[in-house]
Amino acid sequence: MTGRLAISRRTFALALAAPPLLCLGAYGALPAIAQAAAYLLPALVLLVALAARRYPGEQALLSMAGRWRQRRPRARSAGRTFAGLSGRAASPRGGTLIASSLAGRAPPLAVAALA
Amino acid sequence: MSPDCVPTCLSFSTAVRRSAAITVVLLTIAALVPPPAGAHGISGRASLPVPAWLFAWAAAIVLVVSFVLLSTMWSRPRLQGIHERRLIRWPGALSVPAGAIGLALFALVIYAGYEGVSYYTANFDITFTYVIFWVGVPISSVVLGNWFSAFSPWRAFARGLRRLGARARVRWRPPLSYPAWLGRWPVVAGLLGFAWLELIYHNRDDPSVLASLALAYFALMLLGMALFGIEAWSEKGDAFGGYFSLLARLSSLDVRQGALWLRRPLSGATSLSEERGTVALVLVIIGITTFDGASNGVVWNTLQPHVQSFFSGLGLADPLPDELADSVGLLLAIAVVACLYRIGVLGMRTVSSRFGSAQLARTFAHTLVPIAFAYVLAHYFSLLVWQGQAIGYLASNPLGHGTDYFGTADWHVDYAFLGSTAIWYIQVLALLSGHVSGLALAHDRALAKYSSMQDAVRSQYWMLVVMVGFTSLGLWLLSAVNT
Repeated sequence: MTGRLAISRRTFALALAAPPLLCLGAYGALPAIAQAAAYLLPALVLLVALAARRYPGEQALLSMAGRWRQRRPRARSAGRTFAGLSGRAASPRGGTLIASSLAGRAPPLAVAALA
Repeated sequence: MSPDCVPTCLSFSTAVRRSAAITVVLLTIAALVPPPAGAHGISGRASLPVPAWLFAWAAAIVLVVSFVLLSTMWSRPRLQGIHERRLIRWPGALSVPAGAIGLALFALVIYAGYEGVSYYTANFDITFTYVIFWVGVPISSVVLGNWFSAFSPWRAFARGLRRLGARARVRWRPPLSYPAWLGRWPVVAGLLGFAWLELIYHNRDDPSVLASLALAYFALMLLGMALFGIEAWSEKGDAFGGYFSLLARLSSLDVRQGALWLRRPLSGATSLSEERGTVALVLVIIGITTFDGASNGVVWNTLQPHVQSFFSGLGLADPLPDELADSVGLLLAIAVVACLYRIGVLGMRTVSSRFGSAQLARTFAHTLVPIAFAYVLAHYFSLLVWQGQAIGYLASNPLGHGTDYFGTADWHVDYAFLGSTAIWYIQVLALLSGHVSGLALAHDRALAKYSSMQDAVRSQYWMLVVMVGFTSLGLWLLSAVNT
């Protein structure tokens, strides 16, 4: 409607918060608040960056995470290769032999269904 | 500038420039303000090698490094499932002597409250209630698990009554089922009440008042257990049982189903149910500690007289204006803590539209549990270490009548046991490890909840703000004590 001020909820909340903050300053708590700000500065700086919808270092983090994920399976397979070269561990025996054979080639589905 | 960034958004370079400007201004102001360390009653603070606020910055760096390591090396959820193994069988019969000990101590509190001397340092009640029970039990629960449930006097009494009733073939069935809408709100209300008693009420050091309140609480617990069942009420209606069991989720030990279980560190916190009042409960625990710290600091000591004079102007008689002013302070501290968490939740909501803010607040509530513990440990550690020693002589002379039951009546509190500087470093370490644990829990939950790694990492930027904020707030409060 023309002629009326449209007040958003955010503005209203700010208007509500302003008087107590002004009172805080008036009552001499400002030095203490400045002191608190020195402590809270790292959080405030990060908050400002995030409020601008910027995530500092995000791409670097994601690429590092991707590289880390790719590296881990390779490291495992390298470990297996070394284990394979170390004599006894290379040749499965007993129950392990049966298990590894089954794991290598399962029975055909049609045969399994007939059985 | 991103396409969804309307002109109201700051560009990155502008944001950085403004942040730098704000940094310079704030640093200048901070440099002009005299450092708090010099005014501390605790002498060890003055011997710190760097200003106390630099510890907050160092803590922030540690948190950022932890965040980077988590984001890059922790790529799948590890704490969401059950990771535990049974250690030993735990005889259920042990709960009988444990309950008897709990009941005996409760009886001693009542007896000492009415029959002992009223001077608070000479009566068993004050040290036992405010130091051993309120501080010692939650801290030990994080190490040993939820041992209080076995020692809880009201639970033990109710279970004893049920056993006696079964022998006499009288079987009591709770007439009501615990309402879901009530959730953990009774625990929240109970903790607020106790905090008010300990921090604000003028007659808090009167042993007879404590004894009367303990009896009233005992009766209330019995009524709740009679109406809703012993276990249901003990977990959700008993303020202390609920509080201690919440912190015990951080423990690697758990007793249930007749066995002692060892679980993966922090994995107990992930099973915290998202009931009503859960978020409020963790925020209230942090808020109570925050107010306790702030009430000794310069901000509240500057503001409190003005709030008090406002209530005095209404014609209220002493000590009501003082108590009301401090009650306002307690609520304000909880509001500050809630606002900090709310900022993180609202930020996370901008990452993905899949989750609403209320849902996010509940989903990540368990990440505040290690922070709550860190606040409790950091804030009350010196009290436990120093004043906790008093229980040695009070055990021999609980009423203050000059008895010496265990030959320890002449013991004294040894303040040189641990220096103030050592305590400060322990406090910093406690705050840091609590917040790194919170960060790890939040990261793990984000990986389980968000469909893409990018969203998970972005959401954790916001939790990083929360964690850095809580760490800095905690350190500021600790450094401001006695200023």
